[in-house]
Amino acid sequence: MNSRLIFWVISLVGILLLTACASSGRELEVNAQDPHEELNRTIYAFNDGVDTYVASPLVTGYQWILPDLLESAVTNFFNNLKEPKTILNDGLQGKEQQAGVDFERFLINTLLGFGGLINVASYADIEYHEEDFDQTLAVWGVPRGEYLVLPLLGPSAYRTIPGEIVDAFCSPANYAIWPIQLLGVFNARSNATQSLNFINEVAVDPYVFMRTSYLQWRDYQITEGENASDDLLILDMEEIFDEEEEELEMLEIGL
Amino acid sequence: MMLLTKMITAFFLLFLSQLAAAEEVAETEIASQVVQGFQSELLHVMQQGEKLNFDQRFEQLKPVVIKTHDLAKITRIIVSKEWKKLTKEQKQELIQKFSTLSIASYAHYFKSFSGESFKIESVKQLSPGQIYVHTFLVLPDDKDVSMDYLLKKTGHGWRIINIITNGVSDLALKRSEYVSVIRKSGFDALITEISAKIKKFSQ
Repeated sequence: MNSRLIFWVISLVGILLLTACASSGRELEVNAQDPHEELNRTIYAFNDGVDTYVASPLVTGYQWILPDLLESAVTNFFNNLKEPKTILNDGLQGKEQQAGVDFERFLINTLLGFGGLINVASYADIEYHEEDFDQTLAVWGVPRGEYLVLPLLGPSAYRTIPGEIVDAFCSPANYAIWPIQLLGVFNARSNATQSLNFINEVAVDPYVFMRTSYLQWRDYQITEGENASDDLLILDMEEIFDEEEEELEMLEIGL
Repeated sequence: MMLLTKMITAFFLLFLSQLAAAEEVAETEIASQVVQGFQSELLHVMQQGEKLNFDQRFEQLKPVVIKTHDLAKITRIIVSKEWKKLTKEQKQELIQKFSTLSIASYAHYFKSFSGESFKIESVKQLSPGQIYVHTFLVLPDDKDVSMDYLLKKTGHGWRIINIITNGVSDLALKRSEYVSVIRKSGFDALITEISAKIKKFSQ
């Protein structure tokens, strides 16, 4: 998923949200999905500091040096290197047809797109997919486990850790010489810029925003969109709120 | 005679079920029109781009957001159990601030157009009072973004109460954030932050 799409997703989701708010030290209630919240918040704050004082200035320089066209080529190159991992996980999840499409995409972009620098497959409307071993484990029935924030890597969960390790072994980028790997890190952070800026701009509590959106987004990817109508829509509204209809009718928007 | 009674009963039941199905179709049609109306106005504002300033976009979007969203109910849901702890004045203030912020957010972010469009994919009735409209935001050079709307029937017709973008529920996201802030920092801190955000969006 490229940065523009991520921006759209987050901006549409968080369109009504607010900005960061300082903690007054009131005790936090334990969230069932996030029993390690206190530690996670500490790591989140550390990551945020590293991003603000190290990653963000470096990436600003990277974006300034690299012309847009070249930056786009770098993104295409690294997206193409993710394809073998996707194809493998397509197979492990029993998505033979999608594996075929992804293989075709990889072949076209590698051979006709100068090693993936040009996304030729997109001109042929061949859809881009992203599958990883965490999703495969989920499809196999492995529970997600508790939410975690990893130092430097960000939002995660117990199941994601073995997933990341397997994916790292399957990604050609990890076997490249270190300057290529470094370029990959710059590219990934650069692509996340719009989304990270947006979160900082609108979130009331960026930590909670990140956690909630990450967990829902991963469920959406794993269930191929099926989670939407089951888990997210109804929110026990009927029984709780119907009795308050009258009260809400009396309260005005006041605009 | 017995056979005739059974036939009449069967015919009557069939008639009733068809009537119910027709009513459901009519309701889903009305609900999808609400979504369509909102998306059309959003696109209209985007298409006017920089010709409109923030205040003009706000004024243009205000009626359609109020008409298509149940802002009072959304506000009620996103503060969850904290709602019962608020005074009537606080509830009123929160609804007013949240409604302003909602419109201001749309006015701030939807100010340019580069060929985007919306398409309604499907509509289904989840329960007599709830309809789910599945749409896509079509981006000219990118993958479509899935945008689902949950509408609830109110005394004023069908109103949007949740938007789910690529599987991420706006209502669930807000609820987790707002509750967290109220519990950690209190109601006044939330209002202060909302006010600051409205001001920032308007600049």
